[in-house]
Amino acid sequence: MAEHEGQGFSKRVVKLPDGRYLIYYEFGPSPAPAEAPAEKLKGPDRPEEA
Amino acid sequence: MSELRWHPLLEQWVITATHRQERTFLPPEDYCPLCPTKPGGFPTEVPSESYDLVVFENKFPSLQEDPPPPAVLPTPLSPVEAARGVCEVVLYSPRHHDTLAGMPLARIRNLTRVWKDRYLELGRRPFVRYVLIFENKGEAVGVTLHHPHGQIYAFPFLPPVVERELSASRRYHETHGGCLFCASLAEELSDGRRVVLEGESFVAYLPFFARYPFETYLAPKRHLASMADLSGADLDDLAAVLKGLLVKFDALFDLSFPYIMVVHQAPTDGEEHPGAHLHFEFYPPLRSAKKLKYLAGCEAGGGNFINDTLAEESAAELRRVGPASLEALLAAERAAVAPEEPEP
Repeated sequence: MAEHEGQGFSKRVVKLPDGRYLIYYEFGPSPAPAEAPAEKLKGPDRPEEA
Repeated sequence: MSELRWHPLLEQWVITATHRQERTFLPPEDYCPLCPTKPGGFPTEVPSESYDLVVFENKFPSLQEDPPPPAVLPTPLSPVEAARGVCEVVLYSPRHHDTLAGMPLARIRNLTRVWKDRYLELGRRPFVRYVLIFENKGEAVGVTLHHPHGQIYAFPFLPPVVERELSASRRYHETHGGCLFCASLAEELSDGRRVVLEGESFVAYLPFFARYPFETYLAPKRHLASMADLSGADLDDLAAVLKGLLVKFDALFDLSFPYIMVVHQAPTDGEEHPGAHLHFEFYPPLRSAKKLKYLAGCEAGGGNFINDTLAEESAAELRRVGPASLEALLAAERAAVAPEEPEP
């Protein structure tokens, strides 16, 4: 689970049985807050096993 | 089997993807592959009992990160390349009957964060030159799955429409030293007759040159090249104007309005594109409640659109229905703060 500080969500990457990736974006129960200006993430999404 | 075949007469790539003939086509609601997997039920694309928003690689992709080699040999006039790229599906909601227009604004705000994240993440991949975010809604535009979802294609080249748009913007920039889209938008805001809904950062309007009866643009009022340039406040405003526009679309003929939505923004090819200006384009196929605008001989064969309506009149129709203003939309949202209930 990767938290994306200031962006209002976390994401979890899993690998499906046929090798494709699937990403769960998870947000809090309240509306997403305004965030800081864009900044590039540090690396590619890394899948975990489903 | 998929490959890129060069069209020398139009100077653009054609993607062949024969495996897509086998893709799921309008399945019964109980067998929707985009719903969460229910306990004891058939396994859908999402191996979870619920989810918030989900992105996954398309099971029937036109472009693949590790594509097969082309099945045919090229000729000097007909180059062929492997169809390298990424095709993703974006699930907007676990609820099968949701639509963007009917979702709580909070969910659409979240979706804008996902779009921005996908633009950044896919755009970082070295072979990706363009990230095209889009949604096809309704059987009238060829939808094969009704579950609320959009798609993202990460291209190894600039799609021809985008390339043509950027080329015009580049010429304008070289001649006038500014952004063509900004200049066009300034004319629209000054004129005002084609403006449908305006927020703090974004505005929805029918362009002067609308090709479809209700073709609508949604764009930031200041120069922003891509989703990456949007602040949290910009994303919130985008979500609100987007929802307001879609509510108006649905109210127009009192039906779930079909459309193609495409996001144009800066390429991710590492080159300078001073004329790139983020904007959403909507191509609704309806010209009245029961009549479709077809792309026939003149459009499909000649590339010239014939619009049976005036953008000024269509914009006036859209202004008359749905929320009167963004403030009215936000007030209605505040009044309907009940949390989303799972579908039975």
